[in-house]
Amino acid sequence: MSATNSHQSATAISMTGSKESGSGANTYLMVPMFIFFALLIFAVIRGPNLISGSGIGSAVIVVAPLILATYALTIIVMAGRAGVDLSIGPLIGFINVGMIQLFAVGFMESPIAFFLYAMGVGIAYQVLQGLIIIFVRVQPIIVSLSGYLTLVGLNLIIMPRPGGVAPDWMFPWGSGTTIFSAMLVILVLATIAWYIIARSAFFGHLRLMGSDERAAYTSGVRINLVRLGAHAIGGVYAGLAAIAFTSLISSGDPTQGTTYTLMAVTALVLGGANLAGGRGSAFGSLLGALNIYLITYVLSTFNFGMVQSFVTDMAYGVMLVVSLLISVVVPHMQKHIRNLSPFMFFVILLTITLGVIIHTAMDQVMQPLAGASSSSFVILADGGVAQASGAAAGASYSPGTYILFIIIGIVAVAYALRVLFKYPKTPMIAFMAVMAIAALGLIFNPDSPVEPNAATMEQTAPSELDAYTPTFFAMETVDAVTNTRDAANLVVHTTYAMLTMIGVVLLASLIILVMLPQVRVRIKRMALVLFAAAVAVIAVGALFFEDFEKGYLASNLSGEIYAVILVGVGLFTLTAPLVHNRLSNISSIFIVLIGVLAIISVYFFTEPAGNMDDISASGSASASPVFASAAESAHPPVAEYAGPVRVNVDAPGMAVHTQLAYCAFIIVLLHIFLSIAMGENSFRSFWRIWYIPVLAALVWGGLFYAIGVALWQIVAVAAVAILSAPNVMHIISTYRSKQGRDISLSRMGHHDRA
Amino acid sequence: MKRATYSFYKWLGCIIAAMVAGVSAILGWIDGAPMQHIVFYAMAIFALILWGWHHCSVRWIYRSDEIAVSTTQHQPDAATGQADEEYQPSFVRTLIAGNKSGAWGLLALVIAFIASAFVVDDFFQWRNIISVLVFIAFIIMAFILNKRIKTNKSAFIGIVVLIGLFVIGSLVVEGFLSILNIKSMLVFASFLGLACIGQTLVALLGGLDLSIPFVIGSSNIGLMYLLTLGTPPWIAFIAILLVGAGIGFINGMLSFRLQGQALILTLGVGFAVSGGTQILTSIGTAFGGNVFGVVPKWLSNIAAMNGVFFGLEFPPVVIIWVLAAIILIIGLRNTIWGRHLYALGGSRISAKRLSISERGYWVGMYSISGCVSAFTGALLLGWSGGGFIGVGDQYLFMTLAAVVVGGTSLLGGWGGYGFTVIGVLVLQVLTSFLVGIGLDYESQQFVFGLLILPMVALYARSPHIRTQI
Repeated sequence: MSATNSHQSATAISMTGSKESGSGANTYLMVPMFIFFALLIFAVIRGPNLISGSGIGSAVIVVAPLILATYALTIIVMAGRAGVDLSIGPLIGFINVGMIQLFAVGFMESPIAFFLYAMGVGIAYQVLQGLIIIFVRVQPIIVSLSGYLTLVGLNLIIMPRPGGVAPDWMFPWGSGTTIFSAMLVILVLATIAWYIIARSAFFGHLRLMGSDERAAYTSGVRINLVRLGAHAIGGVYAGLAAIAFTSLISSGDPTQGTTYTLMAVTALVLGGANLAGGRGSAFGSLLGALNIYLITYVLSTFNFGMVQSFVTDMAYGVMLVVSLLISVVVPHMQKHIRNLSPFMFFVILLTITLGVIIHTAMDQVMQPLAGASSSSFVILADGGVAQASGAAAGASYSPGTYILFIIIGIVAVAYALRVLFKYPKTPMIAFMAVMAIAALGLIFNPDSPVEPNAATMEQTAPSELDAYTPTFFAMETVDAVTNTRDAANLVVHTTYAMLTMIGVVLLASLIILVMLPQVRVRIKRMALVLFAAAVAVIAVGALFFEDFEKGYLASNLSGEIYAVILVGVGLFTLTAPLVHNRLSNISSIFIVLIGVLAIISVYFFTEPAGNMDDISASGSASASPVFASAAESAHPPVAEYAGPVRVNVDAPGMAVHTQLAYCAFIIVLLHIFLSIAMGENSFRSFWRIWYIPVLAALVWGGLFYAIGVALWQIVAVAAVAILSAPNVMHIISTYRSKQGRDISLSRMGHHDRA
Repeated sequence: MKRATYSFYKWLGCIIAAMVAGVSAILGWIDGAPMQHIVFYAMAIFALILWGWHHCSVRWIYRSDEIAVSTTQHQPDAATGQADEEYQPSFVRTLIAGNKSGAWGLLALVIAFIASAFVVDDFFQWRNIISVLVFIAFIIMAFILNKRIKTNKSAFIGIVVLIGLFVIGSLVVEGFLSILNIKSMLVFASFLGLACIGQTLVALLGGLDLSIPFVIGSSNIGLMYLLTLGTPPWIAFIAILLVGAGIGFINGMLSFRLQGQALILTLGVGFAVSGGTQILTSIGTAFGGNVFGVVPKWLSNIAAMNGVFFGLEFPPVVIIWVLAAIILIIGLRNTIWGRHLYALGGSRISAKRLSISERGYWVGMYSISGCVSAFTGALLLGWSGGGFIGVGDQYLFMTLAAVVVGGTSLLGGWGGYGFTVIGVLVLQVLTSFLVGIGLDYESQQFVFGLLILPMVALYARSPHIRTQI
């Protein structure tokens, strides 16, 4: 019987293992990444309080035990034999109740004793488990099941019901009012420790043993030692998780075992670890645990009333199932996306998410309106309006928020410098310059009352930061229509509108362009240079447009254009290395993905500041959202938030023939870019790649819709463009083939076959 | 051939049977039972133990010895044979020498008993002493026979443990063998056993179904909800069974490509199902998650302890379980369906060569599992009389434990429902025993956890890695 068992386990391992083979890099991380950023965007939009000092602080406190528990689970699962440690939850509970009871008796006082106790018990238990697995040779899941039942019983015996108190020094750990709490330090140290471990030979042995124990044994890995090591490290993390859990609840709770086991296992799966062993990473587990937290957070922003917990349960289950099903699809996707680096993917998603976060965190401060129905949110007047009316709404941001943004800025600068030094090409340098200018324009308002200088920013004294309210996106100076109301300025207006259009179109196209497999590197470089020139013109023109009436240099671009530039430049900076790396085989899935996310980000970048025509013409607030000025009432000014109102680009002054000209212009542009993108395609072969123009139309349409173009116009343009594209393509390709034939004929006369 | 060993076992069995029968007779006399009952039960116990002993141990030993003899005839090994002959008289000493760790463990147990006798008041009673002696005897026996028996080890050990628990239980706990207690044990065992049907079938394929407790809970409140809506009970009952089968079907379809992670996937489906049912049933009511209503008479009769089965005072649910067990055991052993199931669990490739549909069986087993779980949930409604989502929670690990303790391999291809029945009975009697000696739920869990590991370790140890290369 034992022989059959071993045979079956071998086949089971090979069955699960064969699906993972061929995934070279850790591309499996893309799924958790995507889920994470999608959830994060959703969470930030639903509940913007998440992005604040206290929001992130409490998130860290709540999520720390889960992350640490998932780390513990990960390293044990990596050891193989399908050994998910079901007893992790009760173990945390055991350490927790033991800690509290020992403290109550007066046995332990100091933090050092607590840490030693927690980690000691964790290591002892896990090593015991490891020894049983090694020497008794029972399936690990049985061992952990046995441990689960034992510990659940033991916990309740030690402490029959939740209670007790944590020591005084632990209370501030669990308050979660600031980002930089002790928990964050523990979390960061634990993660760093993981990566130190991951660089050791031990980790390599662990992975080898997890994916094929027999191979590890035959190649001389001391598997027993490695397994014990994995369990010991898991024990350390379990101990840390127990500390985090204790400081979270500030008491003892013997009943949390089941919940934590299920949550940690779910996080593990969401993080993309292989339950059969051999694959797993701290980063994936971190993402998985954060995903769990974000699901709960998002669900808590809805008001389900009585059935709230049921909905949470259902969402857990559905997420678990869906993420498992995605892991089935991933191997099929991987042959399409094997050249896309997960790091790039991460940074792209990060940029987009940061855009949304900056928007929600900086442009509006949402608070539930007292007395109003709980489903509706209200906006405090956003930074720009508040500044214009003399109030300092920005002062409500905590220092942590500023520090967060400074950190983001430093990271962005570091990344830009890295790219710059890695690819010191002319277009890249031009781009960095443009991006820097655009970023400066976004952050600093030229006519800010307090003079912003670098010294103030760097000293990061909270009071000075509060006094200086940066007006992000320079919203209040957006009155292009006022400036160009003169008939003489109509030319200027049209120019800027044209430039805007070109900028948007170019950006969207470029996103598609650099992603497409068919594009040659040479064409990409050409497009890159063109693009650089266009954006440089737009940016410089916009930043230093002279205001005739007021007589000073003012930023003339509205917020959404800045947003488009920021997103586009960000995406471009990220994709440019791909061009130079000749990484061109990126599948259409990612075109969709990037396109959709670009649409989302542009949509949310557009400020809810109302129609600028109305503001400038009548001087009063527009219909929606309604802003009450701070001076009018004593309580903070509030307004009903009815979704972002987009700025009307095709202003009423624009005639029908101008609009038609724009449409025609866009169609031609689309054709040109399609022809560049699709290369030498005839009419017949066009429909085989129908998805490329459709996707392009979708992305473009989304961008245009986001900046306020009417839907019927977009649909009409897209329809005409796509339907006419094959014919145009056919003409172009016929022309090209003839031209090519002529060229090759002429060459044959001159050259030998090289 | 160690004739002496054989006769040693035979007489050991006789002595044990006589001992147990005698003890039960004495107990019956002490409890003041009628003489006819005492004689009848003593004889029955004696006969049962003797039959079980012969069926389970002696015959197998004999058979394994025959096999051993037949192989040694082919490859005569004079040295070992002689050694056997030499050491034959001092069989027990050889045994101890061969199991030093076991002997030390026993010694530790005895010392622990003596120590606790000094520490705990009222511990040093004749009942406790006898039960410890019986306990030790059974452990020794289990270890001895464990070395001898080649097939169906787990079943044998399960039966031994069962008998041991019965004996100790009857010694230590008042009224352990009363009709009421046995009835209640049987009723609870039937619920657990029915819930384990799906787990066993799925485990035979190498999968796991952790959605069982959630389906049980969901069908429990779902049926109640349908009844409160005014649906005719039998339609509601059938609808619940169909929905359960549907959930199982979804489980199977989703996990077919993810067989290595069926555990997690079914857990996820379970969560979703339980959450969804609660949302559905709490729409328009004021009680979140709880459904109140009146259970039809026949349903509570089926599940209740004092149920009547065709005029007999016997809970019908036990009959249902017994029938289901018989059908399953025969079906697994003697039908094409059953053999194909084992073939698939044993080796997917071979089964494919026999053109057995892996997908069909996988999905089918999960569907059966869902259906039976829903059935269990419905019966539990009859037992409790009110819908409660958490009614299945204890089955999350209990079904797994019963299957594992019974001896069905979680890797598939080995085991059967007969084993699971033994596992269920062991767990149930153990629970009853632990409750009887006054342990609360926590301590029961603790003891369960400690007991599962050695029980499994007795028969399901995987070979050392160096033998797998």
